Amino acid sequence: MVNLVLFDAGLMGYSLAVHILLVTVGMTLPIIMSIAEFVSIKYKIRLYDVLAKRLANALVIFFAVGTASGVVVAIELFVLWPKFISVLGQVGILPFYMEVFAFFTEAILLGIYVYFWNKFKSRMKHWLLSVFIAVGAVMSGVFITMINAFMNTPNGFNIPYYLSTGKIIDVNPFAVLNTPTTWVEIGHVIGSTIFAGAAFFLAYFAYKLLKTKGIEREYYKKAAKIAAAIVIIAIILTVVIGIESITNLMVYQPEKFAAIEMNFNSGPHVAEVIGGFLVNNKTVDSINIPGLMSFLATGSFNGVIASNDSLAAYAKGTWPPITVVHNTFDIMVGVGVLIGILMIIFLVIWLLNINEIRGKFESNNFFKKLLSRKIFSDPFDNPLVLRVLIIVGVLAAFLLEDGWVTDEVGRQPWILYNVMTVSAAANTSASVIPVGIAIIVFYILVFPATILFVRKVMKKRDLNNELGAKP
Amino acid sequence: MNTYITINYVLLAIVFTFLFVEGMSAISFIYDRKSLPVVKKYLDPIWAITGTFVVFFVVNIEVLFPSILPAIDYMYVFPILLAALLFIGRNVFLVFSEYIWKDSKFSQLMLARIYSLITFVIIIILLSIFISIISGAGTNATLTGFSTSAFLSNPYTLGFILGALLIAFGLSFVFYKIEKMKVLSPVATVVGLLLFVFSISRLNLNVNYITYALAAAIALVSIIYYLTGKARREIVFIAAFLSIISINFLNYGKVFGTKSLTTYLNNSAVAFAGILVTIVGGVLLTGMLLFFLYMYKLPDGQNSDYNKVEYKDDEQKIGIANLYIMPNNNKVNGKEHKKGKNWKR
Repeated sequence: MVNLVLFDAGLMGYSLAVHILLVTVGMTLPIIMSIAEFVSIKYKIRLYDVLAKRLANALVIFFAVGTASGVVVAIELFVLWPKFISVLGQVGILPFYMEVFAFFTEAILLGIYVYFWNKFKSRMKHWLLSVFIAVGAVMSGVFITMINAFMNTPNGFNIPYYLSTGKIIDVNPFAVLNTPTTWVEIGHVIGSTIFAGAAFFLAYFAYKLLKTKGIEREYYKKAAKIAAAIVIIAIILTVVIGIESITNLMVYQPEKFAAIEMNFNSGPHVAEVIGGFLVNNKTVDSINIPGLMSFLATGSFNGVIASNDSLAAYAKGTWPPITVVHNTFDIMVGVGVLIGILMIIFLVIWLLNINEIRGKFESNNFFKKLLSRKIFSDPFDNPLVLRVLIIVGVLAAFLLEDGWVTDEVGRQPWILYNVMTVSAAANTSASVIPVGIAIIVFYILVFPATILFVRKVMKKRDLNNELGAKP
Repeated sequence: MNTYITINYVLLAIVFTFLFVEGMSAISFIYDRKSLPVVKKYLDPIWAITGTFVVFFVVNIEVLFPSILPAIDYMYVFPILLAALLFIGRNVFLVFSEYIWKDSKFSQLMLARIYSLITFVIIIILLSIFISIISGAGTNATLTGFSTSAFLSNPYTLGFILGALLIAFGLSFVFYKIEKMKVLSPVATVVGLLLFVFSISRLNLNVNYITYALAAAIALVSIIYYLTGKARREIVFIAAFLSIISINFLNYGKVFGTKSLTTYLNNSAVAFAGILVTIVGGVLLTGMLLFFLYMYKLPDGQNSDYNKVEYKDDEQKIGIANLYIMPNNNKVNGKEHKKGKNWKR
């Protein structure tokens, strides 16, 4: 007999795992598109115009699949977790409702932007639409993240009363907009989503730079530069807010924090556990660095880790799957640091290719000789750098999924932290199984089909024609 | 009259109006291949808005009547998930048909027709859920199960769905000015209306003179188009909206045949906050839809800046963009670096 709770959770998790990839594309594409159109208008460069137009068409296709996927996820949330959604509806539904209007903004303005492109008398007004489309896309993410923050740190109703009676009283529907973790989570989620999306596009543009020549190459070079700039800004934002979110976890979700650190200790000089597995409530095969966890948490190697930041303070029944959460977190940090280092090197090389900066260094003979090395040439012309950028794109997508697993699995067994468990919220109607399987199969087919379709649509376009014809 | 229920009914009427019109588009793709460019011109910019209205309505139910959802989830989980799944197919095939390249083995018409078939199924599912919720057809007394056989063996639920589809077929001629055998327009519309009104009355739903007046008006629209060839799309939109909202109001506050919708109302704090968001969001939405309509009606711009712009040479200095977005190429060292075979520029 199929465990329906597990099936529901698996189906939801799988759908979300695919959906967030579409979201990264849907959130980043309008930003790149908007920048491209602005540069085109401001500096009258036709290649940027073509870029904006092409990206707009790609956005329509991804939007079609992404919105449908979003509807599936939203409906899954409604039908797979009826008890959770009933509580959410009585307390914290407002962000969901607001998201609909962000979604409308994107849908309506994208329609106008793409289909009535030539009807605009003023190009700047047309460009302004792209800004609103990007804002709509980002705000959709912001509102949905508010729901996730509510799941992690529920508020806005009398929780002790609900736990004892099952009834909801003292409701403040606006409290959901500002839970203790809301804004940090928004910063981290939006930052990492845009980072991953831009890295994905940068990888694609880097690949095309390796494969094309002539004007086509010049076109992809311009696109790659926009994507690279976004990656660098977004990764800084993600790292800074990521550190803040760990601090938040210690305070508001200490059990989750203890799980991701696989920490059983409290007091001063607590070791940082890297890797490892949990066997019979003991950590094995890990690397322990004495005092490092104390240092990271307090700034001192002898800093005190509170007892509630240790798994020992909690009943085993409420622990999330420790090994999974801990290792996905460590992998996230490790891969994130690797990408960060690679992008810093990339940025330095890029900056050294700006004439004004390079000129200053080249006045010194040592630097002149050093900068003449191939590694310091224009990074967008360097095959090695381009190949690294492709790897960064793949790693960024992995990183996004990995971080999401850490967050969601880390909240287990709760759907609403310390209020409602996943098993209590699940729909145990067997009717979900056949359609659930169909959804899984459908996603497997639709996602790659969409990417291949967009690729083919773009490939079929003749850049020379597009440059000849006004967009 | 309860404000929350009224808002929900208005939204429901808007959603089904958009779906009804989309149903007409789907019918046209199959009925008359020549309608493809006309239908696409209407449908391409608007399909996303239709989908968003469906989401809007679903979330509105969640905001105003969250305690009804467990019953809906348990009874209609299969058709709702199926419709959601097909919704992906609807979007995919529609957008694929829009961007399919000329020498592809899949033609634009073929993809549009696949979209049509999927859309039919979605509309039939949604109409089935709608009629089941307001009439109680197929539901049990405890609202824990849905009997597909009881629903399908009720001729009036089938009459309701078939009637709605026939009306959509009849009015699709009017909406897209289809000429092919246009005598079918008034025939399908009138037969559909008779079947539709008769079925809803047999399902113990209230009908009165308003229902008959609206049915007569819809029939007239179709007949006038057949006789004169003249039609306006706005009339079809308005007629559909009024018809759906009249059914709701004539059966005000009734769900699952005998239950009262007011018993499912959310607590006052969330419901009130929901109304505030609806008002603010509704104003924004109305503004954007009016802007959309304005742009839709606007002729192609001969005076657009795009026709006047003179693009500069890419290599010239363009200030900050030159520095950061487009630094000079790799000639800065006085020589180009060694490149592979694909690196000739």
